[in-house]
Amino acid sequence: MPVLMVPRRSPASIRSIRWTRHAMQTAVVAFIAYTVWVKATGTSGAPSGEAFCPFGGFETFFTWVTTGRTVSHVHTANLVLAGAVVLLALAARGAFCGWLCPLGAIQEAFYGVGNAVANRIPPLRSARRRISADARWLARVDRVARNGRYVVLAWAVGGAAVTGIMVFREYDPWSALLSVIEFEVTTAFVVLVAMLVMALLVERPFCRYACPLGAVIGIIGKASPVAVQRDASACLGCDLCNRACPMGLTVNSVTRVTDAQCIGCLECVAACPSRDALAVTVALPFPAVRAVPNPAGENAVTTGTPEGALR
Amino acid sequence: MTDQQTAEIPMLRIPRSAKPQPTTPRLRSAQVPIWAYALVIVTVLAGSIVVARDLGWFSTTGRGTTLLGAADVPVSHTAPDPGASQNFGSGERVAPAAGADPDDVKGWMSVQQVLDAFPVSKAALYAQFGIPSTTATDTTLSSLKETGDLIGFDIATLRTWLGKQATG
Repeated sequence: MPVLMVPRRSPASIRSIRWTRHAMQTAVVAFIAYTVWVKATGTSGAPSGEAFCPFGGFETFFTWVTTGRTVSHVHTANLVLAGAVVLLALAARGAFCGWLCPLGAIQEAFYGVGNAVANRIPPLRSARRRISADARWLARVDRVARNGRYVVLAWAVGGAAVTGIMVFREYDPWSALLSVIEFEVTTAFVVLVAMLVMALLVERPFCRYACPLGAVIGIIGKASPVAVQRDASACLGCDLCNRACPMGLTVNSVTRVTDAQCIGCLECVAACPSRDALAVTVALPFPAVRAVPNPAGENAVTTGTPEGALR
Repeated sequence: MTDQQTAEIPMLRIPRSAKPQPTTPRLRSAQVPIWAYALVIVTVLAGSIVVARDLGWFSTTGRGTTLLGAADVPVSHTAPDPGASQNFGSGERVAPAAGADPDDVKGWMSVQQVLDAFPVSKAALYAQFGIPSTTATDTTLSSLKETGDLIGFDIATLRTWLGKQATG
């Protein structure tokens, strides 16, 4: 049997993916922190951080279309950002969640802290291993709970349309985070704390189970031609992509990652040691051409992609 | 790719035990460089904001955009009606504005904006909260509140009172 060799992904490529993404996330978090600070110092006319939440645009859309007004706490900026998110979902699937959403970035940071702490404390490390080794029931709970964000979406958008107020705002961790400087214990604040504690153990818990904006993006993103694509002929079958996915998706058994929960963070791509196995691709409106297996033994696995399509 | 270039790239050996699942895409595809992906994200977001700003659609506060949510509803000032119960003898009366919601009253709004949007007269409003008659109607509600010498005046109380006036 011939020895199959594939090019290794360069460390520079891995760094560029991660650094670019983290730089963009940091810039957005810094901007929102600045907004909160300016508002908290009582500057007259300063916008609230809520004015930059695209989901407000979806919540007020019905009211805006039917009455020309926006619901309270929502401005036209929210509608514009909601439109931008729709365009972005069509252009780059869940990239807003993975590259721009400050709440997602904060959850990632908390998970990083939780991971670092757990790895340094042996009892925590072994407890985590035990749980993940015997976690079939957890996987089942996870699978069911992932539908929660569609429930939240229906309630938040439907409630705002019917009542004319943002029914979700009272429970919205984003809203609580923006007013965290006021140290007021509200229901939303409790949700925020619960979310952050959970984020120490589970990656992006709010995104997975409750984010209504993520649900909208996931639904619209289904129409996007852009997705992470796997070339089976270069895949090592090592499972590193699955482990790197912050949303817990399975990458190494699909051709294109079109799951509604994909946030386009490209962590799977950065984690893949094989240069050509995973890449961001745009689907073209032509049927794929099956590659003919090379008699010399290279490309022993039929990829179904035209030669060079994934290069 | 030439043999020399291939030799410079570190290679990985696919382990014999590896069993990647073979899959087949339905459509042809082209790779998107990471920098282009990042550029699309920034361009779509920033471009939408810039275009909306230029068109005057990007407002991050309620100021200057709506008047108690009834920006497009023309407010009609009716002729003086001495017999009307809401006239309070001021010589001015404002017709109820459709869709005006007391909850939309903000501290940055002026007294005039409130008078324009709700069926209350200046005299009634001033009498209710003990506002000096010399106070200009372009004074903002928050600056009225900050004066501190008004009888029980704050935005919440004003909203409640306006709600009662609008309904009854």
